[in-house]
Amino acid sequence: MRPSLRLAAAFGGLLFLVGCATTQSPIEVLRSEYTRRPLAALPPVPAVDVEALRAEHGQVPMVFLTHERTIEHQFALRSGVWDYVQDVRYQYVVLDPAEEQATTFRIGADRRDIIEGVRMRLVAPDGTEQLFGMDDLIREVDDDGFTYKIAYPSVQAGTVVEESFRLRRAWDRSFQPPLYHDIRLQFDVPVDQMVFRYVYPSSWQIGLKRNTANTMPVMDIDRSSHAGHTILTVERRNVRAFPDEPFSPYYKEVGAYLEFAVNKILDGDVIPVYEAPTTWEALTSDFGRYVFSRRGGATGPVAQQARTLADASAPDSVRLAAIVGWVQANIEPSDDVEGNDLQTALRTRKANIFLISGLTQAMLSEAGFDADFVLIHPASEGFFDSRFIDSHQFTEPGVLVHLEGGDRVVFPYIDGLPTTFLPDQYQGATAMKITETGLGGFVQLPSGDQAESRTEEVLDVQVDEEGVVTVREATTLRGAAAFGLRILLKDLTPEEREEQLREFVTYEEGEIQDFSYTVEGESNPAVPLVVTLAYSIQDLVTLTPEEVLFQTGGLLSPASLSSVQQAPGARQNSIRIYHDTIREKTIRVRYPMSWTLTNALGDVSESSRFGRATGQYTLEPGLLTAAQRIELRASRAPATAYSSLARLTGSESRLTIPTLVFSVGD
Amino acid sequence: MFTHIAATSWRLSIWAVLAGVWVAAPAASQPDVLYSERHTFTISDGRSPEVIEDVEVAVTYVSPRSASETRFSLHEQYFNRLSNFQAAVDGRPVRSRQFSTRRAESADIFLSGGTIQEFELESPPAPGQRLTFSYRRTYADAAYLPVVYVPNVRDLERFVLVVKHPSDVEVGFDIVAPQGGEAPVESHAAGESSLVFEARPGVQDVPLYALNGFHAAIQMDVRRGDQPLTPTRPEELAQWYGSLLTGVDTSGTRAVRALAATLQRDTPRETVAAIHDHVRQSIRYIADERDVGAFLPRTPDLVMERAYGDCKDRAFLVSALARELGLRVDVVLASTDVMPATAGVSLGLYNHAINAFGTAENRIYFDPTHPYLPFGVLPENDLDGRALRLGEDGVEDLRLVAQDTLPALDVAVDLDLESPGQADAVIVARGEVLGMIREAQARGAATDAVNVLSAIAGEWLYKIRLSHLTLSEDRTDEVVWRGRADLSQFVVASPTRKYLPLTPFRSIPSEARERIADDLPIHVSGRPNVRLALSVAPGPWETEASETRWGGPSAQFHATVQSGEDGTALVYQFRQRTRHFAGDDRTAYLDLADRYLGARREVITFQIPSE
Repeated sequence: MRPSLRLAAAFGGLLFLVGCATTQSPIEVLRSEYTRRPLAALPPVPAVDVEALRAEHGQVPMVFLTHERTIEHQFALRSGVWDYVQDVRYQYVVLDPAEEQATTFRIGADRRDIIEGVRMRLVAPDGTEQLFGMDDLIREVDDDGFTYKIAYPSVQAGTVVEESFRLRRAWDRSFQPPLYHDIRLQFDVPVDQMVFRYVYPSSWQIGLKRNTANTMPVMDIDRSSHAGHTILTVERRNVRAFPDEPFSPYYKEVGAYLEFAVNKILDGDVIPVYEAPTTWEALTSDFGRYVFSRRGGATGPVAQQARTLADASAPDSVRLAAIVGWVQANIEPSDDVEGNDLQTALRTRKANIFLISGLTQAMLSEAGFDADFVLIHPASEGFFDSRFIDSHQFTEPGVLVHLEGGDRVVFPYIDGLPTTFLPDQYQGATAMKITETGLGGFVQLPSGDQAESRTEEVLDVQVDEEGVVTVREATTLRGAAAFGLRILLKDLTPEEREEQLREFVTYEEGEIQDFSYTVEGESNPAVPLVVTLAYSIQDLVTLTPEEVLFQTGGLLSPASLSSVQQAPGARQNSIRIYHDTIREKTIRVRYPMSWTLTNALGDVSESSRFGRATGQYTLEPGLLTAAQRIELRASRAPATAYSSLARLTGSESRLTIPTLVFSVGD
Repeated sequence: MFTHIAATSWRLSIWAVLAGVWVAAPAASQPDVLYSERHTFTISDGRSPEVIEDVEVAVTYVSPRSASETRFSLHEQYFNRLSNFQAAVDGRPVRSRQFSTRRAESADIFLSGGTIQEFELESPPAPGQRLTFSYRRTYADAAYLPVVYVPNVRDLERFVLVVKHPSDVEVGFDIVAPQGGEAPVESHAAGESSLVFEARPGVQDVPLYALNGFHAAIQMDVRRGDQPLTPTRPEELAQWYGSLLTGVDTSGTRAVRALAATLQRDTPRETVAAIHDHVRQSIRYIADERDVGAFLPRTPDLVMERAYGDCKDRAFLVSALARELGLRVDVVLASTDVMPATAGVSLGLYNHAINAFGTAENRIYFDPTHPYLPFGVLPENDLDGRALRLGEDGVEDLRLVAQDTLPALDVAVDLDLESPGQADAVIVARGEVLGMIREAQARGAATDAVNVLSAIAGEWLYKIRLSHLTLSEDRTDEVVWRGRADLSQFVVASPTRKYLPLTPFRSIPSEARERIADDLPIHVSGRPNVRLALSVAPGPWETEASETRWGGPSAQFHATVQSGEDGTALVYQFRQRTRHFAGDDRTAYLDLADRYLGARREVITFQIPSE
């Protein structure tokens, strides 16, 4: 029996005897002080210096003085009662009263939640107090439950807001309290004192995830102050805000969090009623059977379908793309399915993403590929802790295919995603191979193909004697860019397609004429997508008797020259570039041989630890060629290095080709 | 109603079911379906009759791209309750568990009275399948009847609007069909009036046109003799709205009087400006749109006590404060969206409330909801929309126009043609640009305000980069920055000449020239009011004096070049009063667009006079 079912069975029988939970918990008296103390029990409101807080933290809407959350399990198996209690206490200073986040309160509650109490107190800078409680909240109802809200009156900068509330939800047939928690310990605003507590029966066993290979979250574990319970406390001082910034790592790679799970619950001190798997093998033992169920043999429908799709004489990459592309296009990802097996998935053309991945692995194997079903630990999940045995570490299924030229990871449930493209959060990630018998070992996914992140643009510009400019721009897209454009162009009518592609014309400053386009590789995700746009411009060239001015701005350079500054030290997050990126642009300007270019064009080059940006110009009679290249390397760096990155990414303006001036005649 | 989102939701409620279909085709202007819709309104007897609307919609999917959406939603508010929401695919009913109700959430509305009823198909319909759905709305009063839209889909099979009514009631249809098309069949018989639009293909979207989404908008005018059941005349709507307001004490009490006394200034205008500044700065924006809160303001006392409110709360508070000081400030209902030009008015036309002060000759409109704009400067969103001034001297149906006289971005540069990359610049920000800078100053770091200014300059000015900006003067109506202007790409240098562009602003969208052939109104997204003054010191480079003037009263450009002993002064200015051009204004704007966009190659040439 699966652990959670066993636990449900143990409880279900008892519930039948003792009845459902009521608004008054019969075991409230057993709670810890943290979920029993009055909601008003908060530190005294300190003197607040708004300007000093603004100077210290920048323009954030609020600063938490106290951010305290307690989760407590009250578990009485013999009585058939299991309460899941959350006690939350905030105390914060309002810095920007115009921000709704700082001046309103809302809690969402499931219909089964019992709100045991709510208290809000506002202390104005002059000491005036306002108190609010449950009766002051406005309740909104919908199918998902209730939302309770209040907008605080008379809030000003410097007002200290206290918010405390307690929720309880009792175990019943439709709700088992969560045994896995992923607690964020850092927020979008700063916190002076952050406290998270987890109170649970001492007979339970807890597994904690490490933050890195060598570090466990710092915490206090108190097994004595509350009889029969353990109190796990994480306390932090001066927790800075975690802002949303470009080129940042994922939150769980650098932000503070606590991830843990209950892995054993005992009845009394001896009999386990719930046991989480203690090895990865145990965790995955059933899973292998599930994702390959009713796979069938070499003559079954799965194998037949694979053989239909893959032309045995074609190269492996083509056969791979054919099978994966067919699954992406034909098997709809859905959780609402008829049956949980591969043959039903194939017949109904519908399955969940795990079965779709299982089906694809099976089809690839039948077609002769060496392929593994994998469950991936993406970068967004932070460090992979091999000692923390929990399925939440592996959130995404995929298929790892071993080809002669290197491994590929494919996602057969994402329509149109090329088999050559590996999104950055999976690159180099740890994954579990799953076989029909369970765990097949851990693997490191490839780092992705650098070529997949390369974009090439070639602009051929012809200026004739009359000053008419004809342009042909060919852009070669791969990876995410190609995937996105294929999705965008899908199912468009010819008129809509033209309208859409006109949006990609580099020249934005005025009218274009004689527009035409071609798109190559649209139906084959295995090859790059090449978009070629052709058009003419009538009004870019000024002809005078002596000189010709070709205003290249907007055509051969970024349209806007606006510059963005960042205050020194403003960057907070460290820098993470997940994979190498190359952008190449070649511009060829052809003009009448009788014209002579008078501009002096100098090569430009900028390099830093993050990569390189270059622009090189070559001049021949009647032809100017500019080759621009920006190359970013996969890297990690501290926040202080951001200006070095910004110099590189903002270097396009230095690659601009200015207005070209030609002298005419002798 | 008088918050942007609430009213928009109401207006779109009829359309909401279609929203999902449109999402299916990101680049498509209309979904690929065969579509028919029937509305049957049944008006009961009585002075303020309840109205029941039964709606039936049928959508046959033609291509995969239009069939990928599975979620279909309807919005309801307290005055137009929904019931009997049902759906079927090819006659197979959608199951009740596929229907759900949720709160209408919006960033602008803290407490919403609206709910979303929706159903979700288990899988996208296939091409060839037919989705049908029906629902009933019950309007608390005929005054809440919406403007009904005939959607621009590809293709419309049939659209029917039927009004069943008591025999002593008359129903009129005001049909606005900007893009023309075959007129509907209109019929009126005892107890029933109807409109039928027969099959029509989808119409391609027109650029710079704000009303692409529908073939026609229909406003119903329902009367029993002289008594309007739908208040479609301005004075009728004002009277009806006034009747709703009878339950709200919009006068102030002691607290309002006490506050008003502190805001008294030397002149009426200064006093009203002080009231405006106080309200915009001390009443934070929180919208409580539950039930009648969608239309009616809270009492001024309550708004003051809470120190929060929405646009109508603020507008009525301003009015009450002014009244305490013997000044009349009117409340103005406004529309921040471009709406079809119906002859009549309706409650759904307006989604905002502002104020007006003064007499017809010198009336100033102001918006105490915008926290960063000074008295007399209206936010761009407020402009050009239809508005209803609820004055003690009567009701006025009007269109709000810009009140600014000076450029919003005023850039003066001392230019040395030999080193154009290092020019000194003075930049003055006013109006909407000032509002954006004030917001950046209030909410962001000092560099954010610089970035805002730099971004606007980059958007409006061609090939000019501003840098090293420092705040020089900060006044109520304008801020002055000093810094560096890089004109190294603006000034084109050859061995013998310096060229400056004749048209240095990005101020007219190039699509404007595509609009010459039609006669629909033009709506542009921006309203650049910008001046660039270049002072070229005396030196070897000279040019000829010239003057270029294009445009009309609503939008104009001029460039003047004057030379003298002090050097050469070039002044470029683009001035635009509106974003919405119709009739003669449209003709003038298109003429300006043609000249301005056609002059991209023209330059002002400096050269050293030959000896």
